[in-house]
Amino acid sequence: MTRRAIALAGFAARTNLRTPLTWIGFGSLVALTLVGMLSSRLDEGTWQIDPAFLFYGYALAALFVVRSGLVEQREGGLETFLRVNFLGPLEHLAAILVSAGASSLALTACTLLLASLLSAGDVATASWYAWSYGLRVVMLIPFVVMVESVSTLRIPLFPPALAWFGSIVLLSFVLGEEQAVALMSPPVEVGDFGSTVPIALRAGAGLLAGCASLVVGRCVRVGYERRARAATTITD
Amino acid sequence: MPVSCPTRPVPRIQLRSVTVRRGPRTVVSGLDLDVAAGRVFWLVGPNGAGKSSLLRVMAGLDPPERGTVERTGDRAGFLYYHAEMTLPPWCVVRSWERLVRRLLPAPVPPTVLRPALGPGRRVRRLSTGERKRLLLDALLRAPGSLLLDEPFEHLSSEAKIALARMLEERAAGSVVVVATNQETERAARDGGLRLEAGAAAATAWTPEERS
Repeated sequence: MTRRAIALAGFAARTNLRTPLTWIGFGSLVALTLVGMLSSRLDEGTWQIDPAFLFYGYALAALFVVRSGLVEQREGGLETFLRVNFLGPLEHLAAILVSAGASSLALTACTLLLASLLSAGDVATASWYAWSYGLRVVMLIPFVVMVESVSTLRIPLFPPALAWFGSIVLLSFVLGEEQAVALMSPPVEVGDFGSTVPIALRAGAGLLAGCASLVVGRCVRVGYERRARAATTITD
Repeated sequence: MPVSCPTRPVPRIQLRSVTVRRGPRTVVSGLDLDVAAGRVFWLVGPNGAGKSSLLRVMAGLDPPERGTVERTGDRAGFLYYHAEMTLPPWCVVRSWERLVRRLLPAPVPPTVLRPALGPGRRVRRLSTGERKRLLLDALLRAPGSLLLDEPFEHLSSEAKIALARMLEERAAGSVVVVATNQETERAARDGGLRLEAGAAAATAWTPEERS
C-alpha cells in the first residue's frame, strides 16, 4: 500500500460514513437489537440480547454500510480524475478494497460496542458475536467491490449475499437442508472462539480468491488502457 | 570557451494521421497535429464536434481509430480534466483537501481558484462552480501538462480570468490543451484547432495567422 492509496482509502471511508445509507444501516442494527431484547423480555421476562435479532440487525446493517464508495466516485467522474492524474490502477484498487474493509470494520466495531453496552459489560460474548459476524462479511468484500465496479447499485452487498443464500437453497435440494447450511455456514458455539476457525479459514480463502480475481480483472482493464496507449508513445 | 548545457526537450503532443471515431461517426480523419509548450492550444467547436473524443485520445484515455499519438518531454506527466467531473456529495471540504495534500508529489499551497470555504462544508452544499474550482485547484497544484475539457464551465467571471492567467503561465513550460465550445479572443490569439460538427473536418490556426 502506498501513501497515496492509504490517503484515498481514508477519504473514501470517511465519505462513506457520512452518507445517509450508512446511518440507516447503523439505525437498523440498533433497532433490531432492541426489538430482540424486547422479545426476550416478553418471552422470558429478562432483558437480554437475542442472538437471532442481533444477527438480523447486523446482516441488514451490512447491506447498507458495507461498500467502498466506488459508485459515487465513478458517477461523478472522480474515479477517472484520480486514476488518470494521481494514482495507478492497482493503487486505486487497493484503496477501494481497504475502504470497503474499513466500512465492515466500522460496522463490526459498532456491533461490539452495542452488544457490550446492552449485555451489561459482557465484552467476551459481545466480542465473539462481532468477530463471528465480521468473518462472514469480510470474505464478501472483494465481491462487493466487483459489484461496484460493474454496476451503480447503492447496496453492493446485496448480490453476493443473495448468491450465498441462493447457494444454500440450491445445495439443500441436493444435500438436504441441514447439510447445506452446515456446508455454507459451519456451525459455531457461542463464546467459543475456537469454533470459528473453519469460518475464519473460509473467510481468508474467500478474501484471497476474491482479491486475486479483482487484480486479474483490473489487469484486463489496464490492458485495454495500454491498447489506448499502444498508438501513444511517451518519452522524457 | 563555449559551454554546452544539456537542454530539456520541449513538452509536446504530436498526432500523426490520427482518425478518431465516436460511436459510428468519424469526428476527425487523418489529422496531423503538433502541440508544443509555449502557448495554450485551443480545441474549439460546437457541441458534438468531437472535441472531447479528440482530447481523450490526446490524453491516452482512448485509442485512436488509426494513426499515432506521441507525448514527449514532460516527466511530470499529462493531467486530464473534464467538466462533468465532480466530488461525491457527502464528502467534506477538509477531507478532500487532506487527500489532495497527500496525492501531490510535493507540498504546494492552494491556488487562487480554491474557493474560500469552511473546512467542514459538505460538497453537496456547495455550488457547481465551487465544486469545479476544488477539482481544478487540485489539478493545477500538480506538476505536468494539462488537457482540459471545458474547464471554464460553471466558473464565475473572476475565476475564469484567474484560470486563464494560470493556464498561460503553465503553458510556458508545459503543454496546455483546452477544449471549449466558445470561441474567445484568447483562443483566437493563442492558436488552436476548430472542429466542425458532423463534417470530420478540422481547421487549424496559429497566432501568426491571426496577427
